[in-house]
Amino acid sequence: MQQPPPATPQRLHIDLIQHPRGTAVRVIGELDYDTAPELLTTLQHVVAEYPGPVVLDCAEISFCDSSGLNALLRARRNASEHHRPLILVAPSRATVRVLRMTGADAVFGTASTVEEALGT
Amino acid sequence: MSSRETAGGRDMLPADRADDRSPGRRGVVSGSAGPGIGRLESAVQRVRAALPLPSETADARAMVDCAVGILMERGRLNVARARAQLDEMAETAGTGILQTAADLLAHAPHQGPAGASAPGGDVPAYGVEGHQAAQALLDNALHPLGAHAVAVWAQASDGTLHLAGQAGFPADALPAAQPRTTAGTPDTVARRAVAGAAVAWSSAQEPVPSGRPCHTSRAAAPAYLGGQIVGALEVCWLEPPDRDAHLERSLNALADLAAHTLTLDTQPLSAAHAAVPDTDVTRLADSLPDPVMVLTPAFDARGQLSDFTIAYTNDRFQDLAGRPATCVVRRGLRQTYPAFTRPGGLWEKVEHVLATGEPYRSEDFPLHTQVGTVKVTTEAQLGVSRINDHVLVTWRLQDENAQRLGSLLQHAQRLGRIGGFEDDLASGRTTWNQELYDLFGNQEGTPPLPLAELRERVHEDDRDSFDAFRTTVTRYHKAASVALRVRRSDFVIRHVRITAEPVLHGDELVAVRGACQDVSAHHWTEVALDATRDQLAQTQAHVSEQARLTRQLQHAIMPATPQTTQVRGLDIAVRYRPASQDHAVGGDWYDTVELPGGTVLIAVGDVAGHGIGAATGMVALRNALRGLAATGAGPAQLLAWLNNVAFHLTDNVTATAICGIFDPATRTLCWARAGHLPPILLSQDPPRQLTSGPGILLGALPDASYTEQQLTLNPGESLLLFTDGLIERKDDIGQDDLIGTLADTAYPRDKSLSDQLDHLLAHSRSDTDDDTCLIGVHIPSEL
Repeated sequence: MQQPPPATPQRLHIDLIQHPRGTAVRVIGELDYDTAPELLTTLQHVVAEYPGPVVLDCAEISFCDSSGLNALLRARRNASEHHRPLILVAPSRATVRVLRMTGADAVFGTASTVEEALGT
Repeated sequence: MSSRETAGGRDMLPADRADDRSPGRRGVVSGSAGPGIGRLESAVQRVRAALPLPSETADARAMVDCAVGILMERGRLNVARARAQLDEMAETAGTGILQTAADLLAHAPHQGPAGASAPGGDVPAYGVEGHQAAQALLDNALHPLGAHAVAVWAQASDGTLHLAGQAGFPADALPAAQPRTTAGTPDTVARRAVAGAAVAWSSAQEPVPSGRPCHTSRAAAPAYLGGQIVGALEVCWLEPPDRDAHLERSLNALADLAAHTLTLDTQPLSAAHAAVPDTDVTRLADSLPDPVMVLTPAFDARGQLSDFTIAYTNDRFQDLAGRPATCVVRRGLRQTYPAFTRPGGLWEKVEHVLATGEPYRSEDFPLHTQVGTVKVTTEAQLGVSRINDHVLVTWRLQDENAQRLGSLLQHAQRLGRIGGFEDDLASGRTTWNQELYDLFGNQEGTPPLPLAELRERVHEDDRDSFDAFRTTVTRYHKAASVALRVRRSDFVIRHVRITAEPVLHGDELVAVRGACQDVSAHHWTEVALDATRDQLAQTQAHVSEQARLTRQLQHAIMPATPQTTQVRGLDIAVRYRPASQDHAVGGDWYDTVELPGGTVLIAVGDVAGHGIGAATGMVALRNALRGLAATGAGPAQLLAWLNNVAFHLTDNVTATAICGIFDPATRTLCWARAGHLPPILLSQDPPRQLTSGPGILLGALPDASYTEQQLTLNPGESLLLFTDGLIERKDDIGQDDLIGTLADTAYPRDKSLSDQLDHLLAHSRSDTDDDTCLIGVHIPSEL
């Protein structure tokens, strides 16, 4: 055995949470090269399977690098192709930092609570 | 040995010479009336003693002596010549002398398909010898059981039972043959024994085959040879015997014994029968549109059927438990499908078909299998038939989903997330196992939910599927399986596959039991759960090949060796530090190039991600920027174009970059950034990061605009450009760290640019193992 396959398991945890007004994706942990593909796949799945805005609860993202941002941007692109907004809820400090630095904060809708985001 | 040899032997053995054997023969088996009878007598003694086989040597010696006798008789040879011929035959057959002798004996009183093909006048087809064998059986074994007449029937390939021998019956009491009945239940006791593969008893009213009732009680037992029924033993009593298990066992044993005196037009199986089916059988299996399993019977040391080997499967075959074919083929049926041996299960059918040759067919046969701790029952259209010495089993599953059930369950076992439930409809009680509580997020101790109440937990878009699934199980009494989104008690949504089967008592549904499997993981991550080891190894080889290519690519463009150059009087030093892990080779790049108008392009960039995708993105952007810069456009325009390249011309590449154009004549730097960290200016004042306007990273939007800043650099000042590998930290305070390092008195401000960059790399507290690119631009005092 050479390189073990990139291990994703425990650093990122993704849940779909059903709220009274719709479904939100909750992300807990680190978003980087190894973990970002799982988030992207989940968000693409949500766009395909659930109606309404794509709501991403970012309050518990502890780290986000350029690959994490790339996944968010690709998810946004995918959502907008389906005429659906991607809304970031309560982005954590780590998320805000990378969004600000790269100017990407301009392209995402944000909300302070999931309920607010689902109401849009 | 071939049947021709045996047939020749029989021809030379006229019935009236049966007692008039050559001296040599008499000397070998003294007091016996013929080879068949002599063997039968000694064998009968063995059965009566109900002992294990007598001492092997004595038995073997007797067998070889008998075989020599047969050869002497057949070829009119002396003992020595006959023995030599036996040795020769053994050598040719390659089976050893004992086996050869045994084969010879088994075929000795050869009857052939005489009754079917050549009735040959009024001579009984099976000759006097068969009757003598029957007489020996009656005298030695059946009189002690109270019987007074016996008949041995041999079954021909067309199903006709031919009388092979009888004793104790009045002359002409029995017909020479009982043709196979084509419709209705078999009418005679021997036929019933053969058809039912079990001891059959006659009722009082039943006519004997000849139509002349002469005995009060009759029984027949099927005669087995090599797992196949080759005939029947019919026994008659004047006084009804006690029909107990002991009597039936004795009859079965005697019938099997009698089977050895019968020789049919099909070669009987031997214990050493090859487990590989011939090509005719495999071709037949390949031609059928349904899954086919070819079974070969396996026998234990005593010649009893012990198991079937799954000798071949066609390419449509899919294991019910989802295992790859290699886990099934050439394994024992018993070991591979233990649940088939349940009463009424497939095993019984296969055994019966092998024995009788009668094909079996069912429209809704329950196939049981077990995956881990989960029992799965699937209904199938089943066909079982015998071909040559093999049994072909073919099935078509009623529910196509069921085909995938086994493999899904295998996934479930691997995921270790399988919940089991049972709804007992009679008592109204529902049982869940621990895993199911976990799966639904319900507190252990709270009442489990019956299937009907799970509906409210199902996502509303999936409720129709859920209803259809329930109807299949509860109304149509079929096992079913469905994938659904369910809401846990903590509102987390999971993708669950529910599989349920009805438990019926007669026609009544008494319970529903099933399993739930959390399939969220492979819905989302598409983890290659069913990737084989080979594929994994291949992937790993691919990964390491990719890493090698990426590194080569990187090295071609971004030399890892320290570089210091002079461009139009500017001192430029570069450090590139690749990530420590091979697979993390990244997409950082820099470029410094003199442009046609005498200006200098200074650029640094960072493509998101790493690996071959990032490296090719980096090459594309770097080369595009070089080409675009030759137009003489300003940095803001260059970045806008580069954004177009990233968004439209690459495969979802996003990148940050700084693009600067330095004019040596005015020492002015005009620069713009696309989501990249601004440069740091090192001057007489404390180090400071340049301020800049907004500028989104490349590739995020189809169109983007950027703002330019102007900066005049004085002689002796330096500018530091870097990628985030230098500062990126999981606790995100790295940027302040960098300024701190630069402001610290330990910073080698007065040393060469190279020394300064080395110092920065050495003091970098980045903890993300990203690759790092660092560029220093110094304005010499004399510029």
